[in-house]
Amino acid sequence: MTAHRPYTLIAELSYRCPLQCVYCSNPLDLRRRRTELATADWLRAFREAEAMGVVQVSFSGGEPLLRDDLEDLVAGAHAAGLYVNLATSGVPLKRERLLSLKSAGLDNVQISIQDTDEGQAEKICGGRFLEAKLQAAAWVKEMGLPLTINVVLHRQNLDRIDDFVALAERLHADRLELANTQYQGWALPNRAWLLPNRHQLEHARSVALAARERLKDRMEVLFVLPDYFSETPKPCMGGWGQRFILIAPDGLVLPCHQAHTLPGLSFANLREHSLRWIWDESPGFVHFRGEQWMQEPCRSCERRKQDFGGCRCQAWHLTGDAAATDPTCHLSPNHALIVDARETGNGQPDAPPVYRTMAAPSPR
Amino acid sequence: MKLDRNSVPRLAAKVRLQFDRHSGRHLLLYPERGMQLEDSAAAIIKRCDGVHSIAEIASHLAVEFDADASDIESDALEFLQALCDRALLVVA
Repeated sequence: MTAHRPYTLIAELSYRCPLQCVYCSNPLDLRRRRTELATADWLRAFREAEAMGVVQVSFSGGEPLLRDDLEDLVAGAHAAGLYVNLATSGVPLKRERLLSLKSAGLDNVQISIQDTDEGQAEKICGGRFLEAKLQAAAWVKEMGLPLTINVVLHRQNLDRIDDFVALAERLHADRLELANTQYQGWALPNRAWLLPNRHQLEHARSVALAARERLKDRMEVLFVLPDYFSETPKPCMGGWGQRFILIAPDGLVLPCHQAHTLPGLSFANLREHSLRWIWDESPGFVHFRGEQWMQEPCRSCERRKQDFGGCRCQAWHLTGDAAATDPTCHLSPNHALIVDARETGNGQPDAPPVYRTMAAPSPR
Repeated sequence: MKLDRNSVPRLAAKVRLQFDRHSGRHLLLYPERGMQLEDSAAAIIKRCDGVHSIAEIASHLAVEFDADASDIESDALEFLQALCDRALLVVA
């Protein structure tokens, strides 16, 4: 058993997606979209992951339903003993297919809801998909499968927090994730449009906490503050290379969704190495594991074992130094970057968002 | 939902009890989370089958482990109530 036991595998099956959400973290780089892993590669990954200690796999993307072999992948992960979660937009789902996936051993279905207002949802994801999503959610419950509803929160939808709770109740969801946008990927260039103000957040949090208490024996309600407002950084991925392994559609194995954007780090591909070697020894995983890389104020901070210095990708994208303290920390010398950004949520006119299409320039 | 000794519990649909060969312990697995169980907790959960009441579960365990049934019952009730309050357990 390795000293750092991975518990969860995030299997990003495909970057293809019918949605174009303005806060998506996936790359648009065509070279990385071209070659998706083969079925056999994924099946090998599930067996190796289980041998390393992984107990859960989350199929995500992009849209995992766009893989024709999803039934085989669910069956393979289930046979390896993993708890299998499907994170989907719900849009391409057909009733018959869900039956097949259930037979293959699917344990939970997570469906994203961008907004309860169809026009607002279209502004976020570029299409009118709400009806298809609600139909998919109804099938999930009809088949006795557990349902998670995931809502990414931001300035444009936070004021409908009561509607999200009511929708999840109406759908008999087993878990409701109310997670504020993290400003990575496409959310960063769209930050001024997405970043909420403190009043919105405090209202939403109080609604979510009341719902959590009221619904506690029926529905797990999770509310995640944006780290821009928390003053202490998030313990990103539970620490670099500590609990999570992410495999990208092309086989790149990463500690988080954005790690490939960090300069000077090399990450290995599942096609060329064993998952165990990549986790234990590959330079990219070793680099920020533990505390050796830390600078002040992290190095001597009492919280370093709780938050692990925060998010390396956020440090890089905002300060230009991937080993810096996450600037969301109030102790960071760069914390003014966050304080200044927060002001953009306070009443400035809304500039239109940058849509995530092939034509648009890629964010850093 | 307030449980009592006559409640008939079973795991919620989203929860799976699984033996973890790496730690030698049982785990409760549910979306995005896991909980490592003490052996005594796993023994209780294994009997939450939607058929037997908490009182019956406790008396079975008392015989199996040669322990006091009322002690086991109060421990089991407290543990199962905590799971119920987290939507991990439902009553039949």
